[in-house]
Amino acid sequence: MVILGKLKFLSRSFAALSSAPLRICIVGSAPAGFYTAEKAHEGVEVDILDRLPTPFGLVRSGVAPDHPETKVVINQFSRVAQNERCSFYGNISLGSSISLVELREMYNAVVLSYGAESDRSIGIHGEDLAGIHAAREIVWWYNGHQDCRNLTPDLKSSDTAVILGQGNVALDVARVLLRPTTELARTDIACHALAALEGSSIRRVFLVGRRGPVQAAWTAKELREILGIKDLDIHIQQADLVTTPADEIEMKNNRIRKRVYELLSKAANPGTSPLCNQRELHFVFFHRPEKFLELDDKSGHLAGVRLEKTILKGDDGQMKQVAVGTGVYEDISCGQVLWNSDSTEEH
Amino acid sequence: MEGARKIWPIIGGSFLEPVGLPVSHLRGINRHEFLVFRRNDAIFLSSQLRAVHLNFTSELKNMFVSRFYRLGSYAVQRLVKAPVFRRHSVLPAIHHQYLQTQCGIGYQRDELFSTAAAKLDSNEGNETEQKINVTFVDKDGEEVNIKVPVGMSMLEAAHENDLDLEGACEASLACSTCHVIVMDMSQYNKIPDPTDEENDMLDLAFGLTETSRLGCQIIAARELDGIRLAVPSATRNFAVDGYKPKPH
Repeated sequence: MVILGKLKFLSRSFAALSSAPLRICIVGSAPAGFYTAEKAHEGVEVDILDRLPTPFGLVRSGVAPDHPETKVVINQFSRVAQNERCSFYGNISLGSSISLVELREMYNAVVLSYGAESDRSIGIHGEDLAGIHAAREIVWWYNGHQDCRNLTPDLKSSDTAVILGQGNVALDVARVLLRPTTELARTDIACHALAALEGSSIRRVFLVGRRGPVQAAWTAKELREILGIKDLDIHIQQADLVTTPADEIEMKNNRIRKRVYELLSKAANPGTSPLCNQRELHFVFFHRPEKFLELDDKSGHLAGVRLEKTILKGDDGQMKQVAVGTGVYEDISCGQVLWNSDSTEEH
Repeated sequence: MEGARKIWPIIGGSFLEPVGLPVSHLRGINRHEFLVFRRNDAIFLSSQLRAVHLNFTSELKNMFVSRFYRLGSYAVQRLVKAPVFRRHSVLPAIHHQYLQTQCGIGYQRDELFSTAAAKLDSNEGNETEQKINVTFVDKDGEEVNIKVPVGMSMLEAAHENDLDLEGACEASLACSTCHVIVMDMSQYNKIPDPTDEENDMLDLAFGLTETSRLGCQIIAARELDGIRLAVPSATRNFAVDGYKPKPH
């Protein structure tokens, strides 16, 4: 009888344990957070937090407005959120609205999937001049992110913008600056950005990278798109397209690099005569920024950027080539510099 | 109609045209309380009607039933179309089971007819369509055989059969999550070559092989009958620039 009583007590306590559902908190409602929520098993309750009032993170604020197909995944995430086991809480900032300790007390598990939002300092003299922005800020600005609503980049004082960095974000920014505004008007670009771009005087964009076309981080689809923009003059130096044996090895191992290089080679034609008001895109390889130049009137405004020519030296350990300065300098005068912080590569 | 009496009540200053009813056959209620009238496009039932026990003879039943069926379904249709507009039908809550079920059945009958008709059409369609055999093999080696109609993409077929193949961009060539590996080289060669756009996305696919394709771009055709597709162990969405995956 006693044993039976004890068994009953045990089974009841186990039942109580198993009947309470597992509760998980996911901090950050971008794709990482939603994919995690999607993979959660039956019976697990998921709460997704975000510091913004709206979910989806980079899908909403990072994907360029003229790439609506990439944003289609929002449908999949919405289906996850509509599940009764899943709840979304916006406007909650981890650290200020609620602490991690409190979350760990309330939930069985806490998943931190809030990404990396802040920029590394570029570490170059003159980076405080007006007219220098992190590319992330410009992307947030034209996507209507609430943190960069009032950025108001100056697109009227000059006809040249320099973008430091050669990845897909650099191509996105270049494309938004150079695309005809009639095309942009059909996208979900933020209204304040469209108005600013309609009044913009930017006609030349330089894409500057410290290494060569084989090492550039962008991918074929985005490159193909920007090379195909109507009425856009593409400038690529033939000298930059010369490959070394180390480059050949890199291309052999990496299908993307090979296809990107082929695209750039095809686009480097001898150059047509520039028409009036034609927009230009210049690919500048093997140059890294040395310092930013200030306007002569010392008003704190950007006048240009001084670039140092580089050559590549193979890093025997990783089969990766790094850029090394040569002491040869070149200036580009411009009114805007947009720099891309590289989160995966080392400088 | 035998026993019918024409009643011309005036309510709210407008004439009401009564729907002729064999009122004399209704028992257990005050005749003046039970009136069915039609005003413009609205059907009103007297609100003073309480639980009514209606006793019908068999020959009147059909007439009464068909009339109420029409009224009921008409009223319910109006309700559904314009629920907040006051002039339109408001069928007050009559606590009569028979009438309610009649209205309900009337509505359901319409629905039943319409869905039956649709099903009939689709069945005919399936019989004339060609289907091919496709085998999906998951990362654990488990095989699932499905039948795919000619012209459907492999991604859509996987979704119809509840197979685990993600299509994050919903077949707009903006991701590589529907990446599949064609297990036989000869079958791979039968599929039309990938476009530049598909190759751009395949570049980013996890576990890319010589015979990899995107599931949303493989369209079922008769020569692909018996095709075997392996689903890779993982997919990648939103790749970071320059990221090199480490093999698992």
